[in-house]
Amino acid sequence: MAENVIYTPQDTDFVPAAKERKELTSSETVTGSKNDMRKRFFAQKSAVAGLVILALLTLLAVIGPYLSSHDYDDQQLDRTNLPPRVPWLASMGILDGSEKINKTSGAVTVNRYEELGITDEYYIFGTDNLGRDMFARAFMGLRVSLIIALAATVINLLIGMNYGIISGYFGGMTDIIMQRIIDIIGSIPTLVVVTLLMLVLQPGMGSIIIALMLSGWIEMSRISRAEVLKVKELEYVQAARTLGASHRHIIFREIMPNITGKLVTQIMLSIPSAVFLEAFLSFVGLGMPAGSCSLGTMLTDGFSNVLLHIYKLIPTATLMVLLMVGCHLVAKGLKKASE
Amino acid sequence: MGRYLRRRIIISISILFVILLILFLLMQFMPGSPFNDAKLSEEQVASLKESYGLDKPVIVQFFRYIGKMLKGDLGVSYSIAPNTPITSLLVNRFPVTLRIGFLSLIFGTLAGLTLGLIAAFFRSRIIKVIFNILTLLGIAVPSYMFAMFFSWTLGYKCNIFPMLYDFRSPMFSSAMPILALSLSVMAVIGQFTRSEAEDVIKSDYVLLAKTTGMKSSTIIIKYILRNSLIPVITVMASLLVSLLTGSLVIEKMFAVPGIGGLLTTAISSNDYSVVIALSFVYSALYIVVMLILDILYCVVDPRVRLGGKPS
Amino acid sequence: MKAVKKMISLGILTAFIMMIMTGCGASDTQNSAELNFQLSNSPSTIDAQEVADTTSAMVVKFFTSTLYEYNSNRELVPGLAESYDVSSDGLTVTYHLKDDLKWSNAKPLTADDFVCAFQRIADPATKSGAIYLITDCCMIANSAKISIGELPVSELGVSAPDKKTFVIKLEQPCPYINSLISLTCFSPCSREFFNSCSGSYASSADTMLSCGAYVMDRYEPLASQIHLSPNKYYYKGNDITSGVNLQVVGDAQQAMMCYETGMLDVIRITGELADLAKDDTHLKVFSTAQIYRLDINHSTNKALKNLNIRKALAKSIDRQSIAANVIRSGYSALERVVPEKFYTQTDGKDFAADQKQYEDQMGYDTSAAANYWSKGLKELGTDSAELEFVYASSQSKVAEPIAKQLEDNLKGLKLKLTPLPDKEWLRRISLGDQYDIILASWVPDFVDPTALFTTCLGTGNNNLYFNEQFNELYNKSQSLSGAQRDEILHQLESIILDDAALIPLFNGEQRYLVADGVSGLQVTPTGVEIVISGLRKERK
Repeated sequence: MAENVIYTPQDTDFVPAAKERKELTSSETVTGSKNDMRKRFFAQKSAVAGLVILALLTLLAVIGPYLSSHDYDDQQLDRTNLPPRVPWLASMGILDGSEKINKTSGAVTVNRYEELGITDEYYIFGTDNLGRDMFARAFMGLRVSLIIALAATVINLLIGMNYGIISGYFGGMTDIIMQRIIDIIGSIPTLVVVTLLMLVLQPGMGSIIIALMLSGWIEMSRISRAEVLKVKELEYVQAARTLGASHRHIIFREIMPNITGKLVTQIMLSIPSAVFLEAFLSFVGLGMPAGSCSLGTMLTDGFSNVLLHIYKLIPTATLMVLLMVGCHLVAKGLKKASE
Repeated sequence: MGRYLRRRIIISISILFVILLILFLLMQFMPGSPFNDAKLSEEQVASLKESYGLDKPVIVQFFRYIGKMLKGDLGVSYSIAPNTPITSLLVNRFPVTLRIGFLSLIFGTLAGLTLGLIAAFFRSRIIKVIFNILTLLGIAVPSYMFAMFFSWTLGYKCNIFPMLYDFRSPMFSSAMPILALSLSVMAVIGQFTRSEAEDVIKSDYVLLAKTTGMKSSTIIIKYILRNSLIPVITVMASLLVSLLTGSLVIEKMFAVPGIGGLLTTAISSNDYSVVIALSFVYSALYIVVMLILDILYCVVDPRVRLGGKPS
Repeated sequence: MKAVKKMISLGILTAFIMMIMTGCGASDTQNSAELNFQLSNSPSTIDAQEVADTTSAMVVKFFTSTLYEYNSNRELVPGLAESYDVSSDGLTVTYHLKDDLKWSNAKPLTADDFVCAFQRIADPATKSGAIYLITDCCMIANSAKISIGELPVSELGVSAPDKKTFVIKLEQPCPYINSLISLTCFSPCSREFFNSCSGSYASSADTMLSCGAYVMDRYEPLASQIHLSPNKYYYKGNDITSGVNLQVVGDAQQAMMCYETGMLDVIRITGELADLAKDDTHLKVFSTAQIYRLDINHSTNKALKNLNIRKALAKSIDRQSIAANVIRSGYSALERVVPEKFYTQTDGKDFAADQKQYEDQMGYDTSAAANYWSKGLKELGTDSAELEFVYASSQSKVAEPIAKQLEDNLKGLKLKLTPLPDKEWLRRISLGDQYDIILASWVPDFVDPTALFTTCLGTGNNNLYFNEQFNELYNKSQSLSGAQRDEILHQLESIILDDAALIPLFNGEQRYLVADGVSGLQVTPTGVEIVISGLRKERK
């Protein structure tokens, strides 16, 4: 006969788990995902190269103008249009200050340094039509363009990101109204707005920044809204909401960390477009005021001189290309790393 | 569907009105009057202002303007072509701009699709690098820089294409503007096509199709190309805008008699009646395109009808 | 994957087809017989009576003629007029027209067509930009009152007693009337044709008549390309067989590239590009009265009311160096109001042959400038001055070194640089009160020094300079002639310069590159228009 044995619990049944806790895998924590992203970012050679380029450009923008013995603003009307001459290369016959000019009546090679009897001075990038040192100017211009880029970033973050997050997070009527505003701003071609604005305001750095404020952040707000919409419905956000977390907590602690990757990518992409906006304005004649310089004004200058002095275009164009390539490489790396 | 459409159209029209208001207000801040002639006396300027109705209060000017717009009268130009109705300035120019924009769009799309497919299929390193460089340049470099570059190389150095638009051979002479404008289209479409095509190639249904022994050409046309094309429609709107803005400088450079060149001239001459009219035309064009795209989406994707705008 | 490759080649093929399609319109675009002429911007109008800018004038010149015209030797010769006489008081000028003048529609051209043209300029409804020429420069009877609508247009002092006689009545003698009347805006306007166009006159090639060497056959407002054919009713008879293609190319470098590839036959050379064409035999150089100067606002800024301050500004600009190194393309320093080779006195001498005559007032001298400057500042009781310097952004290359030199040479001077779009800049020049100093470029309308003095009259409000003595002398000069008048003109100029009422800077040439086979290009002495009648392109 079967016995009804009553099971009596024993001490060994309830042994508490071992004190040492199992380490969470990196993908299970927020900080982990950040570290991971960093790792994935730095694993890409092209992304690192982009970062190095940007760092180098920033460094040059800060110290570059002081590496030349001339101020970027110094006009020397007796030393105009000198082509590049580099100290030790000159003795080898490269970049020795001679320049081939394709005149309509045939090409001639001239050396303005010899014509003017300049022996002591070496202009590595040459001088412009007012005798200003192009070396100092190129890096001064880079500095101005980077400041505009910085402004674009701040605007993107302050206006674009916040606008997008608020619109996406709160939804409903708020979203509808905010999106209509975006539709309206977005329906006026940016360049029309900007050019109109530049006519009303004095051309200059301030006006370019205001122009960016008016329309430069729209793409950013669209992207951050779309990202918020995606993330907002995820379980952990829902959980936080049911637990009664404040909006602030949800936005800054739960949502933000998960959309940073996309946002930073967008910032990287917005930098070249801000720099090119400045270049476009210079091209239409509404850019930085006289005396100051920027990559845009120098590029326009260089282009309008291609037939005569091609050397004026090369340094600025190179800096522009580097800046653009750097930003795109970093953006691409970030995009890959965050996927 | 009908209700959604009606709502969409009402929204579009109201946006148009708001834009009109904004443009008008913006123009009120423009410096000075449009009478730039160096040697007009004060009485002459005053009588000119009166005849244009510029001495009336701003509000009156605005409602007058809207009333005229509804009748299709865009006003007259003040300074670039004095007293000429803006509509008559646009009549011959609009088709030129549209033709060049349209051809750039087609050319760019075809080139982009081709490039994107090539990059998706042949995943060799060289092709990948070339593709990346091409699309990077196309997206990042503004079209007017390409225009300058082409005009120097293809036009001046090699003398292949003419550097100026010529009414005697409108197609051939717009080759360079089209080329310069289509590069950004090519780059954007190329990138989209590649990533879409890569996804589609990896997808289950293509695998299935392959295993059932379907011909690869059928697979490409039926699945890959078709599925890659859908997201392309989404980027069309923004591409169109970039084409329009690109045309501002490019038309000026190649002396194309289009509305972009007209706008640039108007801006630099403070001819604000023309600037208002053209900004309105540009915005209206954009809104109409957006509307058409939304309707297309609505047809393609039934979910939109219920939910609203695709995000 | 064979099929895949097929697909790709198909794609490439389509791309190619597209390329060829866009490239296939390739016909023989370069009709070598046609003259391809560069315009630097679109004409704002082709209605001769509305013309107020040099590009429009150049275009209109191709299909109009005037009573008197400049020939290719720069001499003023009868055009549509056969001869003219002036009454003894100088107030009535009578022109006798040539026989058998015809419009391009074969209808006769009569004296009444001139009456129509003059009345249209005076009519405030036309909004002509040339109105100041008849109200201020030659003062046709009643023109001032008509222009503000106080009198009807029919009261204007012009009449046509018969089909071949055109009479102008003036309020004041006008010694330079024939030079003035050679401007394109004074070309005739067929009354009959104008009325038949009912408001659409000059809006297209069909609504325009020609009385010049060419007939317009393709035009739209603000055109970037204009086409003209020879006019068989041209009064000189016409040996021209090929048409003219006027092509707008704004960028000087683009124009140069088009010239070198053979797309353009005649281009204007400006700025640094002049270096490229320096010793080219195709380069044609014309001396003109085109000038740069700093116009001064005499009414708002306290510092500029001080004579010493103005003198200091005038003497601290190194014109020579800027002209030679920066502007290039044939500009030279100008230290007086009237440029060289512009006006010939009655005694046959060049009015401004001695360019150094006013060196004391205008010559570059930094120490003198500094002296004037400190004296001026002391009189003002301050140690610094701030001025707004306005210029056209297209001329910033000229303005920048000027600004730099002013600031470097005058301690305590702070310039606020304001570059503006061209039209806005022009407007400020005309208003005269939205700048302290402005970089102005002027082309006089007619060959007479007074064309350069009128801005100092204080009536046109141009730069708000007012000097009673100057105005009296000016009025006196109009009623005189010959050596006496020349003497007074010299006095007028020295008043302006002694007072540093404005600061002359540079005087320029016009340079054109002209392709093989093109001959007869000439510019009027002022540089405001070109001479069409001798311009030819040989068939190659």
